[in-house]
Amino acid sequence: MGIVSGSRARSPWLFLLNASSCNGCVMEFLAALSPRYDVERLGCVLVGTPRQADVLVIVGPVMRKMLPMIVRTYEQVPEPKAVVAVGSCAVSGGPFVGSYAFEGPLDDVVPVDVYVAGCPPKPEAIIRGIYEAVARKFGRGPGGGDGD
Amino acid sequence: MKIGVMLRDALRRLLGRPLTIGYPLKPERPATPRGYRGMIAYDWETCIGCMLCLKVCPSGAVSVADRRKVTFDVGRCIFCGQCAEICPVGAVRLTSEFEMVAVDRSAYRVGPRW
Amino acid sequence: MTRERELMRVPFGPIHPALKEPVKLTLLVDGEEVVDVSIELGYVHRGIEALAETRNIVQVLHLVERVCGICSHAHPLCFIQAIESIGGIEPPERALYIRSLVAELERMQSHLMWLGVMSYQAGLLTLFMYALRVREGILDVLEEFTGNRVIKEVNTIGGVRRDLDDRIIARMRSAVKELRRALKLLIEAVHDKTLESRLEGVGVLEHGEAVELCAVGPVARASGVDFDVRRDDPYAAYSQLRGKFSVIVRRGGDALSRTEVRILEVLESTELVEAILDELPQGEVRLGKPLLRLSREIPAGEDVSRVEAPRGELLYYVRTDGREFLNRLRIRTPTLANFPALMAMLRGSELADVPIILSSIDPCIACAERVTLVDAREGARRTVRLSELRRGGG
Repeated sequence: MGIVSGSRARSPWLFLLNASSCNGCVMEFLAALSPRYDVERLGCVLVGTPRQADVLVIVGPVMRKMLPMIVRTYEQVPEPKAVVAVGSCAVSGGPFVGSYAFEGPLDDVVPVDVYVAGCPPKPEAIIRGIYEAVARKFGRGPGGGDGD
Repeated sequence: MKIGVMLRDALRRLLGRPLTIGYPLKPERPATPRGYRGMIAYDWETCIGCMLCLKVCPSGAVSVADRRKVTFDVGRCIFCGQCAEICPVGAVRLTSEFEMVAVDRSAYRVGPRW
Repeated sequence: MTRERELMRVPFGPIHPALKEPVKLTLLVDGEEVVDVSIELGYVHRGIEALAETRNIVQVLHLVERVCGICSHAHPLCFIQAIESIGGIEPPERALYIRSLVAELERMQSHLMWLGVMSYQAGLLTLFMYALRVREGILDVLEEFTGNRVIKEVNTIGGVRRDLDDRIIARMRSAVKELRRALKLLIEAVHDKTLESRLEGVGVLEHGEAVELCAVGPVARASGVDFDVRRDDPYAAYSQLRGKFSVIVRRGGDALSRTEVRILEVLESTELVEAILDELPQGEVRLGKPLLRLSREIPAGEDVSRVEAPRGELLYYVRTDGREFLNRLRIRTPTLANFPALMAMLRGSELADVPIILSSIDPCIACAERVTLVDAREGARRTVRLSELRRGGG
């Protein structure tokens, strides 16, 4: 494994994309940054722009007005990238299936690597999802040490 | 922020037990409380096919399977626990399993197996 | 020599590092000063009110829980109060106390979350970490009692779904005690020169403006409007708890006052939680009848219900059709009511203060996606559909 790809896997940068979420998953994602769960110990950093990100974490159902922004944000993330769909709304639409503004589950819009179901999932589950996505996409899990 | 306050807190945290949970690098899984509304467990042999869960499910995660049984789509479920509450025979249960990570959405189907 | 001053249009959002939720502000700036602002909503519009008309009451109860994940107890509480009043259902006393209890726990965690996000915007990450660390204690007891950290799902027609046992009561007591100790640290951290000078005089909302623009909740209370639904129109168990808490009012009207109001409200909530646990009556927590029969028996009718959500007054209008379904559901959320006030705050402020001002009203965009607020270009307070909001407002 080269230096670049190894570094990417050891320290993936995250970008949180809120696609019409109810905030429940956003709060749990922020909780994952808090001292109790501390996703930064895996080398993950929350960045302010998709152009710097390696992992795109998407929460919330895909609604009509956000659809172009989701596609554009996804396209702005440089390759190689991993996409994690967090929460039942992102996985399938959840209770909002059937709404006039609903534009289909997230994987119809952008390719999703790992799904994390839950309403909202616990921060541990979100971290696990990010971990799996990085391990699958970048060849090894994030964080220092042997981390399986 | 006053430096003394910060230092005192920092020192206490330095000497105390670490607050951060080692999951997922450490093998031990964090405990969930008993009443946690997590992964659905469906006992299809007990199910009598009354379809009450279908009626109350707010997200349409329950669908009809063969022989008057139902299938749950956990990917669509919002874990309100209404199906478990309404079930007259207790065939649906919400377990404390919280880690529902999958790479394929078909892994989220919980239904009868025969 | 006169130089033509050029006004610049600065887009802010919908996807922006300072925002955790998509909303688009278009700022008209003259140099550093914000001359005018227009707010464009609709990015989180999920059509909940229309969805509610196609589902039965039990399903809608769980749907409105997802209007907002932060005040996820206030919404179903408000909805179920309207439904119970239409159906003439009296929940048991203990259930009312539990509803108030969860509402207060939710207020605490919401305000602490806000404090974290606010200090994140102000560049004080230490306080963000402190606030989130303290908040975990509340979330732990909420998880233990309701089964989830965020979405509580405790309300049901005619009561609550879970009962408190001694173990959870003891855990709640110790969590609240712990929180009160930790709050001292947070208060000390907020009353610090650096943060104070960052917040002081930023985003001032005068008393008159707050009244005129129908601001609600902590935003209004920080501008000297002495109004709290819990005291002035008690619901759940608040009529019995009236003497147990005071309404925090500040006169400054700036971001610092709003911070103070919220932190002191957390302190009041700790008092309230202890009072509720002390006075908790014995008995059932829900009516003995099956849920579906209860929902079938609700006649056609309409009602308005309001509660004090963490962000302010939340109002529901419900019309049932007598066959388990709803004819109309109308939600007026506190953030939406605060947007006209936000626009008044932003006008005349500095560009660098925009994220602070925006987060100082504790916006919950997911809540606010009910109507589309259109631009109020030149001239003050011409936000459309305000009449509609006023009609519903208290």
